Amino acid sequence: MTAVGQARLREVVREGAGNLRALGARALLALTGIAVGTAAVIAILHVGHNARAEAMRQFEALGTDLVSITPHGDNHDVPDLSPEAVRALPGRRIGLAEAIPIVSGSASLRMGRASLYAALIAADEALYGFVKAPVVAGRRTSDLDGAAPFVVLGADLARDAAASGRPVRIGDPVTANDQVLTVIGILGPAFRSPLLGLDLDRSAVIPFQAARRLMPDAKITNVAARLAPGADDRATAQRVTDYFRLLLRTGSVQVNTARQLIDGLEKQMRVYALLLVGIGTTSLVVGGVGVMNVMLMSILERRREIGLRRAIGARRRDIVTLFLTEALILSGIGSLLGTGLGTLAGWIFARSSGWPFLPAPLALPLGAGMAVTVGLFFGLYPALKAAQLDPIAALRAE
Amino acid sequence: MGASGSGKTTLMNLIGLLDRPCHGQIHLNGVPTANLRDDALATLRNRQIGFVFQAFHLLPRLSALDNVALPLLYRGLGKRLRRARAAEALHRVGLADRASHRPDELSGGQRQRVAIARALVGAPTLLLADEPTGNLDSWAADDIMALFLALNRDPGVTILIVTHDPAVAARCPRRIVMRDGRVLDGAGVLPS
Repeated sequence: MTAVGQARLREVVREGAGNLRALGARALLALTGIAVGTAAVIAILHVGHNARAEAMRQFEALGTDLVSITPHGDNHDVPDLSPEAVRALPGRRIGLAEAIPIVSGSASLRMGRASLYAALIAADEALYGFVKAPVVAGRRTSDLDGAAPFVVLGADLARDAAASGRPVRIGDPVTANDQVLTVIGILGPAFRSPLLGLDLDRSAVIPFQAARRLMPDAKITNVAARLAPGADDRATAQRVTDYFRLLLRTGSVQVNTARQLIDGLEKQMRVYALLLVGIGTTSLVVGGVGVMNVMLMSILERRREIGLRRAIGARRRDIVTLFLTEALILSGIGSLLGTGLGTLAGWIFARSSGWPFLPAPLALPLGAGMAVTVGLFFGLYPALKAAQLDPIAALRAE
Repeated sequence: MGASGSGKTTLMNLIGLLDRPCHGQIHLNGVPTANLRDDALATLRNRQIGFVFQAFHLLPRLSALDNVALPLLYRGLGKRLRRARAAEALHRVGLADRASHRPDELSGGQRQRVAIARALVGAPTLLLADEPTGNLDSWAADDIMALFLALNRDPGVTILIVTHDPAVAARCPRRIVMRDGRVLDGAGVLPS
């Protein structure tokens, strides 16, 4: 754009802004409509983006190559997987690098005066590395512990027990399901795995063999596995299913991979985006009608001005430019306000959820896009109408 | 001049290219206007014609100077040049000291002078004034008429005043009488 063109543009914008200021409260009302609409869309966009980022963070903390294998029976008759068959999986070279059998249940624990309800997990030693759980005191359960009545407490569990009495120490007795266990270790905060449904922070972990002592039905409830490098998740899932079909007399296993879950998440996000488009369109129309209303009123009041401008040499397109600029400024300021408000709302939501706030990359272009769309679409009709006014009739208007 | 309803304003709108004739043709400065498009007419109005209205038609939000400068906006001139020319035009109508006032801070006569300055600023060949003294008291009207006559002495500006007031008409060097939509000569006789 040339310097003259820029100066001209600046002048047109300044004049439009001045005319809008003269409109006062009415312009403010139309502006509010657009601001609220834009804010809604921008806020939802930010929240969606942050929720997705948070879900991805959870997956990525433990790796996207996780696989969950769950025995699946007919009529509640859960098939009994043998631990040996599970542990043999990596050696079968069907795409799994690691497979850890888990028996999980629940128990009410008593430690001193504290009584807590917790998940009871019986698993091999490898589980600690699998979910990246650090030990802050004592040691982990080991495969060498056999069926010994040892227990390792999750971080939240140890904290809750300490809050209602004295801190838990190594060697303290814990009563679980009427059996007495000895605390041999306390864990630090561990990652939750949405795929495996494990939350070690709120769990008591016992050696795998000890499941037979504490749990009435010590069948394997879940297998935590990891894909071998380069293995295809679909093909592996199929081969694992086939492997167990040969071993089991009744029932089957269900294999879920992290990638499947992520795919599902993405699909959900697409539905969500569609919803967003719906909300955006609605608020766009509502805000736009407000703009059109203000512009039509303004033109009605300024008919004499339009007539005069035409008489002194304004072409029709000059009149269109005049009023279209005003509509664009109106929707531009509204969208700017809305983008600010929406970002603030998204930030507050992320903060109150304890997430770091990541601005959605689409928010700014979408905000600006809404402004231009509303301004052009709903400003064009009034502007064209103004330009079509007969100058003689317009000059005579009261 | 002529009685109300005799077609004075209609004729003025036709000459001013705000209206198109049903029959006949209008030549402006030798240019036939019948086949011109709307934009070309607007450009012609901007360059050749200055309008003065009975109701002044000043924009209330703009200062006298910016009101006068307005026609030059549609000529694509820069702001500084527009204001310089507008100041010159205001000086010609004797209102140089009122340049920054808004229309509502000016008297009726002053407003009409601002409007005349606006009509003059583009250096038109034809100035059309529709009942320019209609909204003014006799003192201010006198003033405006004196201004018109002074401007008319400048070579090159033709001034066409529409009026039904014989006192105004009496001061003009040439009179065209209209009746029932027809143009008569100065004595009120249809030209042969």
